[in-house]
Amino acid sequence: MIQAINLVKKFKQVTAVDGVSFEAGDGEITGLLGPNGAGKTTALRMLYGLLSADSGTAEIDGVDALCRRQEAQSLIGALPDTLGLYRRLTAREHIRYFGELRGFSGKELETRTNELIGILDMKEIADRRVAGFSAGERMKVNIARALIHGPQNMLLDEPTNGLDIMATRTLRGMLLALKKNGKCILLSSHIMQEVSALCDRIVIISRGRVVASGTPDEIRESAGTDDLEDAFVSLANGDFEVTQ
Amino acid sequence: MTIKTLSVWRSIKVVLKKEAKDGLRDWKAIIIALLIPAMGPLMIIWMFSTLADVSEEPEYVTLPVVGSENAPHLISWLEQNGITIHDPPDNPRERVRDSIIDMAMVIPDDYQKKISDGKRVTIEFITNSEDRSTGAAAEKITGLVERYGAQIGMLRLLARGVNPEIASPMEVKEVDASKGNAFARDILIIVPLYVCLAAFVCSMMVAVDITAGERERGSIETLLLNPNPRIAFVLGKYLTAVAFSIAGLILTATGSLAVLDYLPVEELGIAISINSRTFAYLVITVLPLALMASGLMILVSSLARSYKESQATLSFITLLPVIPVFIENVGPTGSWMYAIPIFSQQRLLVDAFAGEIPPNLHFILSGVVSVIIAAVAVCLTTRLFHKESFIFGR
Repeated sequence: MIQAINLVKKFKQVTAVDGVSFEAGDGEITGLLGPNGAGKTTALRMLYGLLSADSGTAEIDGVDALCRRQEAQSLIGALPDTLGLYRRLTAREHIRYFGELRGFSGKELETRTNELIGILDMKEIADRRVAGFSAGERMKVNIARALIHGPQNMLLDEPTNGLDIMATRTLRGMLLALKKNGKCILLSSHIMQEVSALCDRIVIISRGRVVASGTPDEIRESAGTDDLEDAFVSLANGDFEVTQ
Repeated sequence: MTIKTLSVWRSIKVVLKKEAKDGLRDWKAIIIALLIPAMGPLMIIWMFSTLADVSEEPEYVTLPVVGSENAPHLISWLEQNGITIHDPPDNPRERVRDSIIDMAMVIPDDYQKKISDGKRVTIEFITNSEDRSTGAAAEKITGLVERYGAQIGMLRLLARGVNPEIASPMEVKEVDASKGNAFARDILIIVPLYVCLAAFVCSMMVAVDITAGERERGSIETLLLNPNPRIAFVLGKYLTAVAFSIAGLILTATGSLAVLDYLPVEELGIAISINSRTFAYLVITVLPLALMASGLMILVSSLARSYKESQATLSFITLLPVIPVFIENVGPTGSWMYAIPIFSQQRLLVDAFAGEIPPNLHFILSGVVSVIIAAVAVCLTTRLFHKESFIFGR
């Protein structure tokens, strides 16, 4: 379970995240929806322990992500918004490196690596250096190394950016399978369709604040429109009273 | 659900293993890292070959002479002393200038007459000073002619009843009291210089790649998502750079000493004893410098905003070992000098090569200062790795 409680983050004059609270439960996919610059990435960075909050707390399964960073980080797998790979290493070496950093070794590490390579259908690319990989192939490497330790919680920052339809489908399939296994998944996106197709709960963020949250139906209801995209636009434009 | 966190030491090992593997696959970095270990020994061979040419006793000297029939005695004197006389080509001056022939001599037609009259004869000896390889031969001929002339002068004085010593009141006798010669002095600077350079240059590319490169590729954020202590990432990367540095300095030391051992340097009058002790002393002296160089490069490269910026800054840092060569023998000296890194290591090695084992204090001072600087650099880099602006800012 992932919890954001009144998170505030300021960068000099700009308040990027201004009192954000939400909860992402186990066995659910929660979508953090908002236009560019709404504060989604900043909120996620605080949740995976790389940014400190000016106030408020970020908790992973009850562990404070900022005070007990290493412990909280061991409970999550994440795809941040920058996904650089090491050009001279193979896909398998990437997965193994992160597995070793997470404390796996020997046979257990091999089994886990091979399992992920199988699930993500990357047998053919597993032992190739990643230098010439397509966006879809790079995404698979990133997912595999984020999942090598079998985390209960998964955070993904705009995971479908730059992916084609096939790769997007693979990703969706992967996330749905994780959800089925009772994992907690939090992803951010600025694409309405993606969120509505995948997410059980939606948190709409605009200008650093949560302007609405709930199931897709609840969101439509609170915005007073049948169309989710219209709801998003009206909510994102700062119609706070309607929603809260 | 498995919760595992690695200890600092095991984390360092994992990071070091990955970075070393990654670094060794970067052939561009490897080529640059091998530059210094290759250049050091080549430099010595080159210096040796040019010097050996000049100082070799010319065995077979030929001399084209214009007007050799004018001075049969002089010619036979030269021939007795191993000079082969040739008939001259046309335009000897131009030919010497164009390096077609090495040198030429012109004996004037009035030679015999002037000698008989007790007058001064001018003999023209054409050489090309740009051509260093003929310097020794030219010197030999000049010496022979001068000695011949001096003998005639002495005979003239004797014929007039004058003691020849009156005309030459002074005699200069050269006594070379130096331990070696110019070559030995250069070697004494070149070997320590290259070994120190290797400590810097050999880890430069790797240091850039694992810090500025990691940030520019956008892989630092994903890396730091792993639940390991930040200092483990820094130390793993730092030790990778150190490993490259040490490998480079050992290669350079091995190559340079092997070349010195192989070349017949003793023919040049240099006595450098090369054995495993020399090698060990060389490596152990420069080792702290490798620690310092890697630390500085990791720090500076982490501060850089981009790969290119970091490379540009580091190429200045790698030039630091050259500075002591310029300030050598300038200013006051004393034990405090050994507190200046780079300078102190080169000084210690020059002393050792010259046969003076420096006091232990100097050795320890030199090492301790470098290690302290290394430690400070690693601490500062670790602080950087905790900064949000470092992880996300470019």
